[in-house]
Amino acid sequence: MIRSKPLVRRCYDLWCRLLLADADSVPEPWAGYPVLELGSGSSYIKEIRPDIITSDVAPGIADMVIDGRKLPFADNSLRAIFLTHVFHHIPDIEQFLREASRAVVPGGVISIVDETHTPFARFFFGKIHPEPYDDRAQSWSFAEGDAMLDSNQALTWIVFDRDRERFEREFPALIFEQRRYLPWFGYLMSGGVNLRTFFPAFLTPAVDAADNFLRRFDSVFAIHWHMTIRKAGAPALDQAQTLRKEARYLHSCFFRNDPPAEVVERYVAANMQYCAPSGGLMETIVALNLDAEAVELKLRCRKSPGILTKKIRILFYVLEVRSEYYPVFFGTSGKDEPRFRAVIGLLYGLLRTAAKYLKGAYLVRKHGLI
Amino acid sequence: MASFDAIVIGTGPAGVMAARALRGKRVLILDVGRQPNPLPDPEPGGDLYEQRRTQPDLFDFLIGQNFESLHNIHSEPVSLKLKSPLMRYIIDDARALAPVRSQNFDATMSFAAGGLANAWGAGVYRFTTRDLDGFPVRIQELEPFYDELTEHMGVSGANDDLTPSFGNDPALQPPIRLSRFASDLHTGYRQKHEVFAKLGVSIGCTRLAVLTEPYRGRPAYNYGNFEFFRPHDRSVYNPAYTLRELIDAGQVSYEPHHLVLRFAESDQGVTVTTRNLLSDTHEVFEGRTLILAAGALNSAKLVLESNDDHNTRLPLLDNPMTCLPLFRPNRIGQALDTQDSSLGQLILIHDYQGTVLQGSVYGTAGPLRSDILFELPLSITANLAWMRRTAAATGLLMMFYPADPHPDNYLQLASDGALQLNYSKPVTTGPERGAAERALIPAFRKIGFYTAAALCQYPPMGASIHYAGTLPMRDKPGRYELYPDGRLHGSRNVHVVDGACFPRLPAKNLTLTIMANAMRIASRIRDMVL
Repeated sequence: MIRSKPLVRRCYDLWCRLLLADADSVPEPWAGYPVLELGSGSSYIKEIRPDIITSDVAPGIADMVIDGRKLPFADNSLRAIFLTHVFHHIPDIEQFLREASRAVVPGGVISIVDETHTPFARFFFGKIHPEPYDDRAQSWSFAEGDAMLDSNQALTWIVFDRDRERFEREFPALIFEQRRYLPWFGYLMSGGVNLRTFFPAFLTPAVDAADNFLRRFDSVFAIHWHMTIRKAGAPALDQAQTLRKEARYLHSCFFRNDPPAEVVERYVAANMQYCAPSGGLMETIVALNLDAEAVELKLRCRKSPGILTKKIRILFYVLEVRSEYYPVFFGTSGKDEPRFRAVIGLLYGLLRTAAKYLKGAYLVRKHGLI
Repeated sequence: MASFDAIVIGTGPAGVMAARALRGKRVLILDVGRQPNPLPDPEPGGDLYEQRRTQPDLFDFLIGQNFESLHNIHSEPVSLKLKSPLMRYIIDDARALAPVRSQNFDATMSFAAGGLANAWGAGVYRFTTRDLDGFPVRIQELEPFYDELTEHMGVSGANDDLTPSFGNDPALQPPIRLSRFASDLHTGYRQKHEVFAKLGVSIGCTRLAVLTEPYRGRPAYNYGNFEFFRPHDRSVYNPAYTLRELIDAGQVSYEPHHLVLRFAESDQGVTVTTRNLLSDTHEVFEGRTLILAAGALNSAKLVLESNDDHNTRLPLLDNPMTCLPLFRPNRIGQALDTQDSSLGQLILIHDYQGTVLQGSVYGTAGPLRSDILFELPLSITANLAWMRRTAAATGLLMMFYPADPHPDNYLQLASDGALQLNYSKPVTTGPERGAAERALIPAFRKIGFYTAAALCQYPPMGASIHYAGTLPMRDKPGRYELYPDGRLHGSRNVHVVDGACFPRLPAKNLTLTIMANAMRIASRIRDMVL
């Protein structure tokens, strides 16, 4: 089903990349440990990483038949658990979280792709989509019946956002590490897994561009997000690993794709030479998923360029020498742009700066960044 | 019996021109003589922007295995032109070989063969009588050497509105092709000539020691725009070429890898003590006469070292400068002008309240974008968007101010042998920086170029790298001053031929006059002394 529709495939590929990056972020000593995917259905992640254990509640679909409430794995034996549109189908999520927290290694991750709680998502899932979406439900559980429909698509929001304090109280071993919105326009146009697509396949590149542009409206329209829950007790990352993570994070603040491996390694090497250790500011920004562009602008306005400005400069230096980033610095294909469009672009830059400054000021005050 | 007629120290513009003028004599050149690193193989061809668009990864060339281009992020800033991996040889080791201490002066020194001229802007401007005000030298004494230099190096430019300031030079090659930005400015200036004339401003083509036509076996400039990333190709004059010619012709003996420590005079002539950097031993050379051409800072240091003088403060001169961005809204949104070489495009001479200032107009295509990414006070993505759209619409006007000696600006030899530099009074003569720029803004506006006085930047002293005046020439010299023939007061056979000679510094770039003056002094030594 997924494979036959290029637009769906495109979304799904991105999700797979994010999940796999999470699994790869698990500390070194557990590199060889297995990764479990729950509720695989028609997933093809196994084609990308053959060593992943797929599973489903129904027999005959995947490697194993597994119910999320009882994981047939020893303590500390899984590197990661992937749940793509599965979290909200698990009837007793507390039981799942207990099981997951038991089976995953320290520093291992529960990596989730699920439905958001943006205004549009509330409207879309509440009024249009057939599956239930109840963000007022007090309970984290629901009655078990028809497996596909007895669910609550608002569950990730309820557990990790609305009831965050309760989650932290009941599961001290699990750390909510990060959350990011996923591209939504392409997904909507594709008609999702179940509906007919609105778009012919040849328009896929245009959809990419639209997705990128519409990223700025994520907080209103996004319908999926990706969340990383990490089990505490990981051995401290070594410096290079911390810097690698930092490079990927800073890159994600400006670009949608993952940075080339050379860029990450050069960022690490340059930091080792010039900027290490990375200091508390960077840790906070990466851990809390803060908008580095906004924070940097605020801090740069406040005083002479600090560590964050320095690190972003290093990132742009190592990006600049790659031809795939040439358009970022010089525009596409060396052609002139109509002047009125260019002027709109400049004005938009000013507006964006104002918005980023306000956001930066808010973040800096809220988190006491220096 | 001394084995050499003359020992020349240094291979910058002054040293090689002095050695060349001593033809027929036994000349020894002592020099540290750092050489450029080998160019990458294959050498990047075409122009920089074609390379950057088509080569997947230019890390080694633009940033360097040791992250050389990131230098300014983490340590004392150096000029953007000196920091890239293939340009580093120009200043490498300078701090180790000649330690400097200063709070307010960014000293740049070179121990490369050819000296700082390896990265020079190649501007060559003749002085006029007015520029030589305060010099014990008349323009007629320099003119034959100016002509000889044009013939030797090849100079491009035009005899235009600037001829009264730069002198008539009949042997010029055509000027370099202007970028679209500079060409707009030039056209605007000619159309509103009277506006600028009223302000005492003339604008014209720059005169460069850059060939626009093949000359004496060297090629014409190819607009590759690599100025910030690799040594000039042979179209741009480098004193190292003259050095090579002199060595090949057997006219000089060349001893590289020698750091000169001190000299002493005897009845027969001069002995020079060096440290051989390869064997780390001391060596002694003897000659009948000594010609110091190690640069204004290092020649002065040698004189003080040789006198064991750690107390005297010698005067120090450098052109104060400003940097004013200019915007051309008509060009917003246009793609980067890849013909916009990083060589100076236009020259502006501004007679402001009786003081002559010189301005040079540059494009912004030269350096890495990340070098200038944080110059605008915008968020990073907005900065990128602005840079993309205004690259072809932005230029820089660098203005140079004259300098006179001042007791607060001095050089001294510290007890540990380091140079102690102080420059706490940037402007010593004429208007304060910024006033002349403010006067220019309305005139630029009339021809469609916009800027604001608030955008004017004041680089730290030392940034113009026009160091001079440490051992000034006078009609009646005192201690640590020179006779008009370059001879050091109190000595018989020690001459100084580099920027140290200048008793004051006009706004006009001094390199051509350093060369002409070195030739003047050396010719006289050849004819009268030896």
